Amino acid sequence: MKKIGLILGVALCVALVTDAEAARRRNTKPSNNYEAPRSMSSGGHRMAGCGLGSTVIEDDDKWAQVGAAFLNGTGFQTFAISFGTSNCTTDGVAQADKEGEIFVESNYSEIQRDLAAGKGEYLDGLVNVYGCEDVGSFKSNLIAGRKEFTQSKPETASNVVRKIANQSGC
Amino acid sequence: MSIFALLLLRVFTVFAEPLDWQGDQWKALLHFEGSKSNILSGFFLAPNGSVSLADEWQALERLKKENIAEASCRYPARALVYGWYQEDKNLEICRRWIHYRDSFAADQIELVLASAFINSPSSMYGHTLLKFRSSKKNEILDYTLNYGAETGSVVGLPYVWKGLTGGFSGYFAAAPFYLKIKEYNFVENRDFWIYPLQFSKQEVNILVAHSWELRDAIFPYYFLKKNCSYYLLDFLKVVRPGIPLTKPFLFWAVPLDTIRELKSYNLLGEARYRPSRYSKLKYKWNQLSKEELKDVREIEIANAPKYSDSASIAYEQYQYEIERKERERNTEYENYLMNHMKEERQNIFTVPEPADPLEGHNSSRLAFYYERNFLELNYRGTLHDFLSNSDAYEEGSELSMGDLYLRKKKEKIFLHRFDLLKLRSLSPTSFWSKKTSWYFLIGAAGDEEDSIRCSAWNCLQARLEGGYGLTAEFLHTKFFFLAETAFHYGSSLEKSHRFRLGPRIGFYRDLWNGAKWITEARQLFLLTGDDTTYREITGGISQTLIRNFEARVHFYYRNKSQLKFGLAYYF
Repeated sequence: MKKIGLILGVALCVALVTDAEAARRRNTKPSNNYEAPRSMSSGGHRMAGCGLGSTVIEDDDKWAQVGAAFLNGTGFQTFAISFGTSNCTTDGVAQADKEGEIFVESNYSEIQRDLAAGKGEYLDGLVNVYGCEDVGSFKSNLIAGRKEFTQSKPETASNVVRKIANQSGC
Repeated sequence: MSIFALLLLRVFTVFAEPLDWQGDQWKALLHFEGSKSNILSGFFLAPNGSVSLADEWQALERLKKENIAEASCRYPARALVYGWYQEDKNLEICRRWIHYRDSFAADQIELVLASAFINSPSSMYGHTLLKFRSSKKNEILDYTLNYGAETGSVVGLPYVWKGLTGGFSGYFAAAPFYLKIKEYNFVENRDFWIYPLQFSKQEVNILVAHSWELRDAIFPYYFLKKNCSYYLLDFLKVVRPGIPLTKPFLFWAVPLDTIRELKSYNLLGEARYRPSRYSKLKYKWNQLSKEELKDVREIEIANAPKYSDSASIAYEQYQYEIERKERERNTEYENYLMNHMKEERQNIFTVPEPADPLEGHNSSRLAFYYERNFLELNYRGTLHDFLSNSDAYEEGSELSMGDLYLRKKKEKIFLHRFDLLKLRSLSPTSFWSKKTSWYFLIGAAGDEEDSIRCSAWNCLQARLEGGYGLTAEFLHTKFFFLAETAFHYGSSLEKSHRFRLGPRIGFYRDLWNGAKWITEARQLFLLTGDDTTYREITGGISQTLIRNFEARVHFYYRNKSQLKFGLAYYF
């Protein structure tokens, strides 16, 4: 029986050791101090953007999944986006002046597609985030400014949107 | 009234109605189970608040007396529940809480199920999170609340051990819904099912407030029971303290079962479906005519699309491949697609809603089989196989945990097989989504034939098996081929072990409504150890009778044949 146990253990270990990458991706340990929430303890660590554009990493290692299915199957995530530790959030929500930046950086590809198609959920969301009264004119100006948007990088494209928002009187 | 009568009245009052700190409401707010809280730290005012309901209550009373606004903003759920909420915008803590509350701007709470995904066993059970719906915002801007664990760099056996024994810390974390869409719909390619929860506006406010209180709370995370889904129920108990939402989950909490529990208390509204990128693409490719399909596949910078939807579908396909790391980003190609993109025909490309996952079979199974030489009782902890009704489950996947077969043969009762974990992903590959098929088994079983070397119980051999291959679909039938390896170990084998290698081929398909059929053949050649070449043909046909009841016929052939008939009940 000892040998059977050993074989089972070794097999699990082999299956799980490849899960290192997925495990490494998870958030850093937060502060236990009530007055210093983990969302505030992370400092500005990037030159531009909120650090959300590249946080989604696919975990498609099949053997890692074997281990994950055994242990993580009941709803445990294979990876997580570190929104709460982004340098644009406080207490786990977007800072008031960073909401647009976070949205644009996180949804760059989808916004780009909606701008090209002339409508879509992400274009509506963008208008919503910037809170323009004249929605129609802001939308038209965004669509007209599509080329400038697509020429920008995800972490700086919000500057283009901000400029268009200012021009649209938002 | 005499002093004695007053004393008597006081004693009577105390025993007749529990004090606030003794009530279910306070226990729910502090996440108490039994004599202590599920929360380890980062939440309590009193140093021993995690083990003393009274001390935490008194600490809150003291803070209230000192500064009621600070108490309100630090613990707004407690203040709202007991009706003493007062805010002061001059206080830093109040400004932060108000910003948090206004960011949510919630009118309603919805429970989101990230469904299982066909080629990702780690997603086969699904995942649940809460979404705070705001009528003031586009849905993708809603805030969500997710419970998850942080495992740091722990791997291997310590990872197993800590996960099973609560060694990892779990946290509630807020994030905008668009990030969850990205994470689940786009990267993991899992569909969302969104169930509105039937709570009043005041209850929604209390839950938003409680999520704020929990932002730094640390819970022990247990993979099997006290996981994401369990703690969401625990969280909701704050506004339904009298309902034992978590009580039925003694050993494990499967996400779908926790949703069923909410449904049993009439807390669920009608589900909405939000397809993943994979589901959208699959549907779109199937809707295209041959000419349109050719047009999308042949889009290149020098080859402009002829049809209006082609650029849009090609862009979705391009994003799908980028997320799967199957191609590099190409801004020139992106811009070309953008320049040819038009709005898609919604009437043609809107994915129809499949069956609600709650309509699928339950998680555990009990089955009884008859074969002319033996009777068999099967218990399976979870979840799904190729003959189970696939309504609300992804077709082409199998996940069995704790699958146990007890056999009665010639007056002997013995354990014939136990699959600790069996996984198979036989999802068909296609020109737009390349997939591999694979198989993994860890467990123990006896050979199907009577052995002259062992009696029933010690026929068991530990088994570790795996395979890798491909599945393709023709005429609504999925054909698969796997190269497999099998290592068996047990005292019933002459050399104590055998290690074999060989192919498995087979097919599976739906026969008619509720009926499924799978047949497979395997030949394993001996590499080392006991026994010789091994050849077997297995299969089965099932018919769903009503939800959670199935009739099954299994056949097996090696040196002699077996045909067993059974009835299965999912519970």
